[in-house]
Amino acid sequence: MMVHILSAASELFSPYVMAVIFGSAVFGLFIGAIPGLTATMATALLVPITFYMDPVPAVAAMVTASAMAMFAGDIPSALLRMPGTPASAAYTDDAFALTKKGMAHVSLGICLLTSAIGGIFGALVLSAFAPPLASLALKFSSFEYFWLCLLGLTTSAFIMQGSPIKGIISLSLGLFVSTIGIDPVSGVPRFTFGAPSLIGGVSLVPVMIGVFAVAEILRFYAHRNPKLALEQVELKGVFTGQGRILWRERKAIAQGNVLGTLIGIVPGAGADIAAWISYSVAKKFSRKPEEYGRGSEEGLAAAGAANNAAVSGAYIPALVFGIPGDAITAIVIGVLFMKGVNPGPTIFLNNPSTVYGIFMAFLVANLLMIPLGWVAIRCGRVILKARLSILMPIILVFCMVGSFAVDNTVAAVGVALAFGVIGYFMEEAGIPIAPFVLGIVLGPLVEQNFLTSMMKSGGSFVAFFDRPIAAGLALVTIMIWLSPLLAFWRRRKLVDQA
Amino acid sequence: MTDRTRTFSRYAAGFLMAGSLLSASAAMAEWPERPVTLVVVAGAGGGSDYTMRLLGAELEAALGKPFTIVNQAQASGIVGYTTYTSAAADGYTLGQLSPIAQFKLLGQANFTPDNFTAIAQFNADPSAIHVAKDSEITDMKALVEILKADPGKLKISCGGSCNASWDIPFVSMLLDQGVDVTKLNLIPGPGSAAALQELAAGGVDVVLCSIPETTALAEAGIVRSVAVMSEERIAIDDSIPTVKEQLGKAYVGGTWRGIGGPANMDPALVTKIEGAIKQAVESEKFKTGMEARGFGVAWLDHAAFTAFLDSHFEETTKVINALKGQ
Amino acid sequence: MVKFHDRHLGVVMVVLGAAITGLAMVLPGPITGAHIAYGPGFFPSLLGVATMLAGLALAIRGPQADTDSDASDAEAKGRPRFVAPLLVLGSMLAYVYLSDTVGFLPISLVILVVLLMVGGMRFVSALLLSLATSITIYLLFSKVLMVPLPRGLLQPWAIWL
Repeated sequence: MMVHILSAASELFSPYVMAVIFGSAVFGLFIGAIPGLTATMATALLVPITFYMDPVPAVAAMVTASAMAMFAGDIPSALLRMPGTPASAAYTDDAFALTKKGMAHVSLGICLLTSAIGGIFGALVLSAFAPPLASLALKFSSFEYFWLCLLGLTTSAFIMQGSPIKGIISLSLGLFVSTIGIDPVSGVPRFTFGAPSLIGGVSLVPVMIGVFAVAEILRFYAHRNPKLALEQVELKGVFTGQGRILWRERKAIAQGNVLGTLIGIVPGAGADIAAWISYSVAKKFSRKPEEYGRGSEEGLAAAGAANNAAVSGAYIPALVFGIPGDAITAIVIGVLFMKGVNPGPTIFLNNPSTVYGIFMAFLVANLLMIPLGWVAIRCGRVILKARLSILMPIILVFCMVGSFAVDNTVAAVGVALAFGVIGYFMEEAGIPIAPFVLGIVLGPLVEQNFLTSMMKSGGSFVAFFDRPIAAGLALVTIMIWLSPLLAFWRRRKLVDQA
Repeated sequence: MTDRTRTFSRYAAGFLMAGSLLSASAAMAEWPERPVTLVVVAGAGGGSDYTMRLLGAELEAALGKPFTIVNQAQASGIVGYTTYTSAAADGYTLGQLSPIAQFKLLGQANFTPDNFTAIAQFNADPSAIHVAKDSEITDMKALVEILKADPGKLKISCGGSCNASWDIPFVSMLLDQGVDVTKLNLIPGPGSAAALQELAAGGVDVVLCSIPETTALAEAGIVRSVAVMSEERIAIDDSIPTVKEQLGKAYVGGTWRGIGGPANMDPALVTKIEGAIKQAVESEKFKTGMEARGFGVAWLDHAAFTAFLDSHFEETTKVINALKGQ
Repeated sequence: MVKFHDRHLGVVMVVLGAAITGLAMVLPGPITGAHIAYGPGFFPSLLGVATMLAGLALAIRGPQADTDSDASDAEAKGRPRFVAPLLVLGSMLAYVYLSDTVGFLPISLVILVVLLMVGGMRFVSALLLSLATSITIYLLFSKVLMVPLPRGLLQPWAIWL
């Protein structure tokens, strides 16, 4: 084993591979920092570049780029209120609220350090416990997924601010948008109105670019919106006071690490869902839930750690069983196969140095994130200093190129445009955006897992509670639903007694 | 350098003629004289992407012009097929041609063989039947008997969306064996990885997908392959018997990949592209690249591929109508 | 800008929800197989009904003192302008319909120059900045990341791009 670790280390720390890692880090930070361009896209864009590389540098490139992009998504989120990746969307309002208070350095510092901590925690779990945890992941069938998704939808109740009715409207509309296109269960095209560009459905990335970035650009031109006027010209020390904050939020960070890794391990649920669930759980158990959405450092710490932990966790089922934990590892598995490294239980026997190389790449990438992320944040100062009238047109061009690059069609630019207008009016009407995006992420999962479960059980609902994990998840979900009622009932009782 | 000068002078001339009077025949004689776009109807990093990139790299090396890979995976590839079938028939926009007959039958798109020029097929991967390790189904005879007695008894995952490359040949086989296919319990899913996960979790009884996709789980002792739907045992794992060995009759099918173009391409141009693909497919690098990941190399030239496309539409129509109960 | 009246919003949502439900109900059943009572219209019609109910609740309840609303925000916004946001939408529409024929470089150049000048920049500096930005983005995405940005009018120079 030691031999393999050493040989992996000598390959990983060769000048060539280090150069690849450094290049991918810069690339990942750049892609992540552009509003709407996701960690998944960073990985997909690397496929042609890594085509002729050896397995270790190829995977190291993808690991590094995706981890960096996941953090960098927080930069525009904090500075411009435009989340760079869907995983940042859960806590955009908090990150931006801190910036408005002149504390951009605090919010970015928390995001950077918790991202690195989450990534390293996930990587350590990956190195130590991959095989048993992967076996656990294989126990998930459509019944378990259904409850997990419902749990995810339920959490949106906690992230809603303001009117719950408007939150429900937002969630329903998001879920509805996810049904556009060919229904994968029945094969029937839905709500396409005969438009060929809608038959594939609307992808998440152009929608995100629309409701966040384009809507913000429209708002800027419509109002010269002071909401975006950056009240802070100088970015103070990113690491100043972070030690104290991290220690204070240690519970939230630990929770984010564990939940993020676990959700990452479950195939099909990735960093986006991890960030949302972790944020909601943190809020649910917080002593200061009223701060959430208005600059909660606790929420930032929990979700910031969770999304990077999920990126690492997703590799567990991918390496052990060849079953991708998320969209990023789906691409990485393809690349590994391409290199003749077949994921599976024997990967530890057949390609040990590759596996150790991947583990170490995770550690290197997440450690490298701290200095490089610091540089990226310093570069972010340009955003704070630049005039928005110059920045906005440039962001618009990036939005269009980014939408186009998802599937290489201009129709996606049209989608970004449409959802930009929708996002603008939603904001004007006081409808929150976050439940809408959550609905789009979870919609297909909820529907497909419900329908295939019904097909498997022959229409019986009992099957949803038949399996131990499914029953456990069902219990948690239903308890959360009933908790407001229980609380109400208990309060009544107390009042009566008084 | 001459290349560039020529391009430049042509541009100057073209500019005078509104930049569009490049005659088709001149373009053909020198194909390719500018970058060629290859549309892959699947996302980056998957099997289709890999085989097409491999082929593209060989074509690029042989012909000295870039072959740009464009991934358009939306709507099971309908978007990608639409892109290249509606492009100019000048040989500069080509794409992956894989099973397409189901789209029209399911009302998703209007593709017929007439929309395509089937230039050449370079790969075929047989469908295979997989069960959980401890399943009572040990061979095809037993499987067919169970389904004859009660077609709805087994939960059969299509390894992706149903009415597609993995389940069509399987249903076609059952139809021929006298199973009432309208009552089959076919379960769709997002892809073969998710289907295998369901199998491991005990959610389904049978998964249909290709052999290389299951190697990891087979090694882990979780999944067992019952039979493969090819004429002969396949190289990647020759311990898996064919359906023919078990049922005494050959049932063959699965997915396949070829290069297609828009309809009405000039025959001389088609011959030229076909020749280039043949050369690339026969290259050592392509062969080893395909072998490394367990992809079968299967060559069909323009004529054979065109005829094959028609029979693909026939079989798919027959099976989908049978599933509808018609 | 006056905030949308919640009652009106509620009515709009009822209509939208009804439309979604209606469209979902007329969706065809599964084409083959699928032996379950829930067709492709089941889930969307649930969502339509949810939207309708929420809209109805909003329409009945009417506006509420929104604890979240930033009074200063609403005031500072003032009346919205129309021309500039329409230019943004127009730019995106132009990109959708023209980028394939015109090419990425020319269209992004025009969009940038126009929007920068709307932002108060002078023509020459806007042009220089736009040129630099467009070329950088093109090189980055097209050359390094191999995203097939359309060449359009510049196709004859493809070999140099």
